Amino acid sequence: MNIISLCYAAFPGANAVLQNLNRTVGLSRHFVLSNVQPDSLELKFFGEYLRETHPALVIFGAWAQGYQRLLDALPDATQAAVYWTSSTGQVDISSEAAQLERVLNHPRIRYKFFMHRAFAAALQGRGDCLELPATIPVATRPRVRSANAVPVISLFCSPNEYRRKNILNSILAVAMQTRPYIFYLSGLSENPNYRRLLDGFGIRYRDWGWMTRQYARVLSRVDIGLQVSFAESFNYVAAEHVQRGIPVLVSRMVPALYNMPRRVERHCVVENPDDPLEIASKLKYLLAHPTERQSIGDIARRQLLKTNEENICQAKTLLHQILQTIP
Amino acid sequence: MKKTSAKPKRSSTKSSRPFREPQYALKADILYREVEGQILILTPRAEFLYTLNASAQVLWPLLARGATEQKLVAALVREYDLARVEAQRDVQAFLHDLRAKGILARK
Repeated sequence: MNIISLCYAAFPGANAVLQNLNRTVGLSRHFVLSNVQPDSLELKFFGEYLRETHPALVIFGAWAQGYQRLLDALPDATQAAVYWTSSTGQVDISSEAAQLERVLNHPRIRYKFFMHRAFAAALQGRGDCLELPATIPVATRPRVRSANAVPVISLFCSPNEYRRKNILNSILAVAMQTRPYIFYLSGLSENPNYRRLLDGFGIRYRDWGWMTRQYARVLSRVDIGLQVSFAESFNYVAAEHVQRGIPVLVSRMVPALYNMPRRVERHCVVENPDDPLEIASKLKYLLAHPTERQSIGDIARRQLLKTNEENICQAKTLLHQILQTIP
Repeated sequence: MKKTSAKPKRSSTKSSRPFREPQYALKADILYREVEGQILILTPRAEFLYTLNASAQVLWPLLARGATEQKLVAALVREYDLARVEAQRDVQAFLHDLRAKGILARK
């Protein structure tokens, strides 16, 4: 496909979405921009690059002010799109309303792709807002079964997501467990307030910090994931657990685990994310039943892969349809 | 009795050939551009741009035309008044880095 995507490095979520779209659907190239200051050499380079390669469609990950320079550099025949990866709730929680307004009303941005189905549905009447679902490159084999003497519970998220990741309820739910466990984190304890809470509640944790290369290795040791978020557009972390056959406790707001079989829903989906007792009770069950835990993980994995195939198909169809309209 | 080889001895032509130092160049699919005095490089697979430090900027035009290691060393010595050993170490590290990134071709 003659499609190029670009995304500012400070948007790890949007970058992951576009990288995965590139791997699953097959765009021409995806580029990560480390500097989007309007006078950056990088933007100048890519402006010239886009002028010379004249792709049919350029997709920008979310919105950064510096993208304007690239939009200005696009050949007239090249269409521009923004892939908006936040959910509606995320926009409010992360104060992104101004950027969204800019994208929706920008005259040069022909297509607004939304990862969150509800967003696209709500803006359907405009004609330029389309759902482009999240896709994941499929790991064909589930992980080798964990042989941990003590089960590992994970809570992985980046520091700028703490407000919507429901950290305190998750910490309280873990603190309520009476069976042995170890809590894996990705930098949470670097925050002094959360560190004091973790220590104060006597939680046994290991903090790996922000992971890049070692992420897959650490993830393969996890037995139960915690992603009981207040708002999500997809939640790749939950999907990455389930893809490996690891059950994840999620809220109703996590689309990665939409449409799961009843057995998975019963044990993994928390109805009220603001209730640590409900999270704790579901966590207690999974900790106490290792065989059931593995079985639930397998069922969830099969459903995730099925949904992913449908999403890949939908994304391919949409992009092909758009390319056909571009001369 | 000493066994003799049935094979006739071959005269070695290898040693008589003059030693040709390998010539390095950039792979054909490397895209690079000088933007405001800074060279930015895009490889076919990377998702981000590479930039060069000051001494690498001295070496890059030579590599773009094709150069031997000694020619690169000489350029660094000339530009920065470096000891030859030090320049050689820098050049080797640079070539190693370019090779690892899939930028370098050996002619």
